[in-house]
Amino acid sequence: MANRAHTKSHRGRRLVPGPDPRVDTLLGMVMALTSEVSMLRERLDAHESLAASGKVPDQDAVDHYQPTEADESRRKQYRDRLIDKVCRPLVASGQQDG
Amino acid sequence: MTMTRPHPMMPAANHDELAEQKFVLAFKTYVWNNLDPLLVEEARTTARELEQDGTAAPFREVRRQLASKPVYQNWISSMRAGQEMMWQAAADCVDRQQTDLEERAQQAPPLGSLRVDPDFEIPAYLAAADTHMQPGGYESNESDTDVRQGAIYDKAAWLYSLGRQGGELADMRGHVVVQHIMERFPGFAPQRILDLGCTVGCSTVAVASYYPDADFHAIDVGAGVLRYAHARAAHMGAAVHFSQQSAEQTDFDDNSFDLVYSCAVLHETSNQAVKRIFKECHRILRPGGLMVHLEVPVRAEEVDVVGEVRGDYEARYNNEPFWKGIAGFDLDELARDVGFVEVAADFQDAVTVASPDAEPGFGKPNKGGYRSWYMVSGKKQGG
Repeated sequence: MANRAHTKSHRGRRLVPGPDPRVDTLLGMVMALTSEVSMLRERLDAHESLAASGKVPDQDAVDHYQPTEADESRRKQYRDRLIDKVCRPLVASGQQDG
Repeated sequence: MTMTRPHPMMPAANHDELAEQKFVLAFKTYVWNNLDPLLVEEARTTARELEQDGTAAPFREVRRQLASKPVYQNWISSMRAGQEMMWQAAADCVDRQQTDLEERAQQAPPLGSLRVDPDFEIPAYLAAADTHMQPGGYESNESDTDVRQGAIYDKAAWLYSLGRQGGELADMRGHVVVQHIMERFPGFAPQRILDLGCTVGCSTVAVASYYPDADFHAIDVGAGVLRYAHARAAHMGAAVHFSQQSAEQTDFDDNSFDLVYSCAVLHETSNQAVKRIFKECHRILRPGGLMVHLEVPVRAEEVDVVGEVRGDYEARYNNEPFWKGIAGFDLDELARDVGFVEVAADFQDAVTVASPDAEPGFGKPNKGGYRSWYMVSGKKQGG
């Protein structure tokens, strides 16, 4: 694979105002980790759906599993709840700030 | 958003990639619904507190005050985290299938052409920063078969606009340009057309669909995005001649096009570049030919403090440094100055399909992002 080190960085990335730039870095890390939790949860959901229909939930079956509308509705609820749970302190601190 | 592709070049997402993309979409939506209202309130409160004798404080003073408020800091961090996660999610999806995408590009029907310039120098205003925070900007290109940058851009377009820009084809702006032409210049039938700053050709293919017999050209600054755009257009049945050029100075002949247009390009240039682009449009248009530019629906004269904060975010944290500059630019005056006639500039209602029978949408009030666009158009005298 070609060397694409330069495409991993952002030219012109400006620091967010605040007492410590590590806060911005940490927020980015927390949200990246949260996205991994969400993906893992959906993968588990795919396993359960495949198993419930009597199929073997191997890697290929999960990678190609197309969520049904019912799956997506359930997953959306979980996804939104997860984000709300992780980000609630941000909203709360903003409300106090105001 | 599904695992299916709207066209053969679109990178297909597997289960986990789709889950990640949906997470990014949900997070961006959460920020918009929950943090943005707090930011709006804080900005208005701060501006009110700084107001003296009914006179608004300069925005730089409002920004200075906001900079110490956690709600403002968290809003910027969250907005940008969503943007950076979006690009990462799209890049991971593309990198898994990059070889396959390059093969698919090679297998595209032999329609149109592609001309890249290995000596092309990207304009300084684009080289200074990665526009929209996309790593590598518009110009990243690592081989003569590389389509990665275009594929990432195309994959992210839907997430970027939260699906409001014409679905997964993200081609609304092309339809709006045609609708504008149908309303202002009924019966206009261009035979030779140029799209300035086409990126991956979302608008190009949309406009080409209305003028299937036209000799269609499109230019951009990035070889990688153009290579992808050519394959994308050809797979969708559009014969377009793509070339790597700056809109400020092209190699096309004088008086050689009937229609030259751009979609949300001017705000990514500079004060001087916009002037040069208008002059170049005038040079290459035939007498009677049309220049049409579509821009983001933000005008300085109607922006309040919230609009200032949003524009400031775009300029400073989403790497769109001319965002505010274009909002204050008198584009219709410039068009007249370089020699265009029948010039008009105003808001145009968004459409997803253009029709001569549609309710006229030019000159209507600004309805906001993705529901209105700001248009400037004019005709080259003669013809």
